[in-house]
Amino acid sequence: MTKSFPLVQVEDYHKVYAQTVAVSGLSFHVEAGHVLGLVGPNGAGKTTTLRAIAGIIPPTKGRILVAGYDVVRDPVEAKRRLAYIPDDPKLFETLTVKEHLEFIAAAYQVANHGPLADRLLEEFELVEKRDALAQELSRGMRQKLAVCCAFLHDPSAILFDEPLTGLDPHGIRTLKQAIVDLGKSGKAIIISSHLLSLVEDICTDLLILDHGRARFSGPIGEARAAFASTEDASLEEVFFRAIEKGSEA
Amino acid sequence: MLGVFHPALRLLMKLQTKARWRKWKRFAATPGGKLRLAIMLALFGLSMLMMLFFLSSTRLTPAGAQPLVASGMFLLTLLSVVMIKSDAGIYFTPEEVDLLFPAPFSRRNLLLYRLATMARGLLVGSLIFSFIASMAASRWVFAYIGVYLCIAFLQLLSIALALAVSILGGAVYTRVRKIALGLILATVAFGVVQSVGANVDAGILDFFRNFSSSVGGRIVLFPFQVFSKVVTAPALFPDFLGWGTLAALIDGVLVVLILRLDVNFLESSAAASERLYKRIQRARAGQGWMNLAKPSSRNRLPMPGYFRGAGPIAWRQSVAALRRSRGIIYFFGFMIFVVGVIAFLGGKADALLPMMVGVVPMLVVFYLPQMLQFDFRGDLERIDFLKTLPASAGAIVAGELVAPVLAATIGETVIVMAVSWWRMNLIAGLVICLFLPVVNCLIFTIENLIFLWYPRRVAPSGPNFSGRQMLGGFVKMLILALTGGVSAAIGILAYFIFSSWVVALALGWLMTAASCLVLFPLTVRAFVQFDPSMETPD
Repeated sequence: MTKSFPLVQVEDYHKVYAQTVAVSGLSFHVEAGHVLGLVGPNGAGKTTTLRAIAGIIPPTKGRILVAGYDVVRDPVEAKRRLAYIPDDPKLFETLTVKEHLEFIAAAYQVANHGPLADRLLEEFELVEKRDALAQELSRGMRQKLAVCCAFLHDPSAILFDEPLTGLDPHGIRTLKQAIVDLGKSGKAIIISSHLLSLVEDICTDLLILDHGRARFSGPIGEARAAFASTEDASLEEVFFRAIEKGSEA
Repeated sequence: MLGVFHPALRLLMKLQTKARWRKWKRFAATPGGKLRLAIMLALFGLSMLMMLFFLSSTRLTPAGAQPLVASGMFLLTLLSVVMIKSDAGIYFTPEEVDLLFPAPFSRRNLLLYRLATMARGLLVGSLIFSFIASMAASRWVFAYIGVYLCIAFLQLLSIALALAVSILGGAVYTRVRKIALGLILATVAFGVVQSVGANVDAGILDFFRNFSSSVGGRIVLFPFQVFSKVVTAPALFPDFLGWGTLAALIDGVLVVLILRLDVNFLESSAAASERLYKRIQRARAGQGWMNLAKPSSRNRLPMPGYFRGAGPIAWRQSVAALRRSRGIIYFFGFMIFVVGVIAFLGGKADALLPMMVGVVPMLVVFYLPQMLQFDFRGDLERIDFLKTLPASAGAIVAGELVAPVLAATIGETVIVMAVSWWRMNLIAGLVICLFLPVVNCLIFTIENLIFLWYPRRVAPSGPNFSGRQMLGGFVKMLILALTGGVSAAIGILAYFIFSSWVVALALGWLMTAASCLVLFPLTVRAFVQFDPSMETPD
């Protein structure tokens, strides 16, 4: 594993809508080589946080850095080092699979993207669909294409929002393995998911969000020590205890 | 019949009606809503007045209008039959498919519900058409009831044909449809030959009169004469009541037929509804022409340079524009065909020029910007993605504007040069063409600026959506009038000072370009400040 340093750094992040506080005073960081599982009940602020890191929605207060670049002050450099895969990726209906990759390569200035694109298409079983229009793809294939687009420009940090939605068993296995490999190669990865088993399988760190506040942030082992009675307690048990404790407080 | 109308579905209809009223009431309760409502009513009233004024100049007698109304109805029916292909199905909204199809309702329950919602929707839908039809009617109420029964007939026929597809199967239906259409078209052709032969120089009204009295015309128009006689009935009794009863009976027979055709339509309906819903969404977004042709991956464009990130974005939108262009070409081809046929049949081919002089500015300012949404307006669902790109906001805005400006300029240049060549005035054509890129740049910048300030996504219906659209249009006209007015004023002033058209046009051009330059940073700022999570479409 490469030397650890924070590739994603969130400091005192607040997001307030007219009457609603979506996220309040959130601080955490993800180091190179770490995979952070972002979990929480519906409306906890998970997607809002991911979209803020991706530079889509501006924070009301606080600072967000990607690979050392402030996403508000230096958005272009931050985004160059980041990939974000939303839960329901919206593709360009009239572009083919191959052209999506071509476009991403041009947008992120990836030189000689062909061999890597071919490898990704093969890995995610999209070779036969390379000339198909996005509107002809199934839900799972669209998700796979979004993943290929995200991986193509070799980002330092990758954000996944419910990454397994719509994927077939082969796709799930491939993506899980890819995430683990990316982590090992020194990327910082954040996965927002309700699938606690996924988080348990591939994440090194955990961030439990509830009502826009962090209930826990740190290595999964520490979460077990803080909220569970035994070291081999399931993440489900850890999660519910953390939420309950937060509610009591 | 009401006995089998499921109480839950009746309740649903009641709740839907209540919800619609509630929506309007809430909309009108806020100061902003009141303002939008006032603008909407004013614009609607204005457009109705303009239409009535236009139609009053060509007032038809009830007897004279009958062939026109019957022929129009026949053409609409023919179009329905042509459109109802082997994959047709009865349309339900996506939420109806998701919630009602799996619920414990019989197929007949659902059919009755569909017919009832259709009948309810027609109460308002017929209103607008009744104003047009009233020009040929002795009383407005005759026009309204006639139009209602007539549109109901068309919709019932569509449902009956969709059920016929399920019964006969796709292959058999296609064969039967082909034979039927062949026979109908042959009969129409026979009628057309007879009517044109009767009087070659006749105008459009004479043509339809001749057609309806020809053998072929009498055969194909027979069922539609009934509806046209309801609209054009001179008196309540016996004409209106007699023909009205007969028209209602025709609709009634179709309703009974639909309810008797006990066929499992759910699967075909679910698939067809999904397809149709997408088409309706596109049509409501002003992109109905996209339904005319499927995009093809064969049309390609080379990737331009990076241009600080604007290049790939412009390429992506240009490829989309190119792949959707067939639909636009079909649309314009159809429009030119219709205008040409009307002018030819009216014996007034030369009248096309003033028509085009009027049409081109409308095309530039209203229609093309609505059709060519290859910019932020077509990217609302993807603004998240655009914001994640490693390019400056200025480059992204520039990239988004390239495709629609280019497409509009190319299309308009072709039309302007064709007209100027036809009228042997190439210089005027060239001058107009020089203005087209800056004018388009200005128009599409304004469109995108307003959109980013005031995003609107296609919503099924509702006052907020209509209000937003109308208010957006109003703001656009205001900015356009201001920038265009300043450019024109400076151009005219320059002409009086320098007595030179060249200087006047050059200054007008520069002022239009300067307006773009002023609006561009505002658009960039609007994009930067656009918060997708705050965007709350109706």
